Amino acid sequence: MMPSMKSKAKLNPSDLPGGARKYQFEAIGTAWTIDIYQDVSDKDAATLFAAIKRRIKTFDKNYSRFREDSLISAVSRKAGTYILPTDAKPLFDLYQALYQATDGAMTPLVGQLLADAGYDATYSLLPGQLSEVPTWEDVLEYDFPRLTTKHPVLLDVGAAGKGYLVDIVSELIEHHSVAAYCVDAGGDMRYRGADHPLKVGLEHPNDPAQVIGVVGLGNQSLCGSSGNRRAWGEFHHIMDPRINKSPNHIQALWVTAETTLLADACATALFFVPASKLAKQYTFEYAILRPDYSLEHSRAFPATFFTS
Amino acid sequence: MNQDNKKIITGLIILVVVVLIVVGVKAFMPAGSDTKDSSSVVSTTTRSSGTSSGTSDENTSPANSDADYKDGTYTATGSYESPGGTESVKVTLSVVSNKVTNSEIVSLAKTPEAKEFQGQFIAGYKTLVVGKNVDDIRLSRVSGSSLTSGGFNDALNEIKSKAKS
Repeated sequence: MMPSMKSKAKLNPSDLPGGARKYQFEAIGTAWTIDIYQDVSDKDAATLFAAIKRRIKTFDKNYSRFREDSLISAVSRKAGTYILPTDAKPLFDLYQALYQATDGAMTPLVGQLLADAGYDATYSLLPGQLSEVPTWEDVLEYDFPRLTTKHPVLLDVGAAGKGYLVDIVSELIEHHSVAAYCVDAGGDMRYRGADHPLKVGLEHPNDPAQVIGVVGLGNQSLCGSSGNRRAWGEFHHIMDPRINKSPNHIQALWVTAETTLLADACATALFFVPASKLAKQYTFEYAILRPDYSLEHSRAFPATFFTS
Repeated sequence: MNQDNKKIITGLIILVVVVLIVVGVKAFMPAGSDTKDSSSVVSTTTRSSGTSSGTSDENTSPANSDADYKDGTYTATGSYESPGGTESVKVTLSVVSNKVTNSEIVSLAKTPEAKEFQGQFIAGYKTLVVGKNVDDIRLSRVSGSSLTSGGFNDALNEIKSKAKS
């Protein structure tokens, strides 16, 4: 049964405490919901949401490979040295570290392969000839703020970029003196400041009207990943550059961590390396759902699962 | 008896051994205790008709269904007699608040047949998750793969309709 692409099941409308605000919009290719759990004047709310919209636009203009006017697109057309924006450092530093930790399986250089497979700027979803993904050393010299490319290359930072943007938006919210909020970008979320855990359902990868468990999210971030929605033909949006195929040994997985950048990045890295390897360097909890519906999870992953 | 019957019975033997081990968790010593692993072995002998009897080592404490189990990781090795000789499996259980939260079975099989049957059992025994309707539970949010936006949905619909035509 094909999962409904856009919708999720309707949630209990009384999930917000009194005085809370909900802000929903589409951006960077997904549906956002921002909940503010404290009293904010209409004027302050309007100012905050306008600032959020602007900040997302700036991020998109730098890092999207789906628009011609972005920095990423410029890098794909011409080799040379680029001065990265200030906010690039945490993102590129983490990509560099995870490139090493996954022996090159998780790489920002996967952009062209994704586009070749069909996940291109026009969403053609038509697979063509698949390129070999070059190694980091072959193409990139990264010494923040400088990124030097030896030839034009299509980068993709989607594996961690969305989580990172959730953190950026969250920090903006905190900067506006709002301490209790939930920023949810299509299911990758950061929750802070409330006095009780947030109950988050873990979506059944083959039926969006169902959940296979419930997370009690504390002041943390939660990211989910699955090949179910962004899937076409034999591919989905995660590709293994070592075999030019999409991994099919994991049906869905979830990660909690201190930051959404880390949770999002690990939610991709775990398709390529065992959790025990990543856990040597990073602090996170995880749950992995295999194609046979068996579940593997870290001891402290904060969820109850539904079992037969 | 013929090969198929042998296979079924060996499979049943393995199943019974593991079930016995899981049920008999009270008899295990916690990991990190001073006793050596051999003192916590739960061994069963089986007859080819498929029945089994259990014996436990005298060092282990008597069964007590009201006991509180200390949180921790428990490991034991159980062995059984198969048509090909003595075979064993190593079972590790994690217990938190008197519930088994995780389990792992490692095959210590020696013969190819035992390897295959133990392997089949290990692959199949883990509890499987099922779905519950979102409407039946109070949730504030749902997390899964990223929701797609209109552009991607349109693209998917287009390739689907192209595939049909």
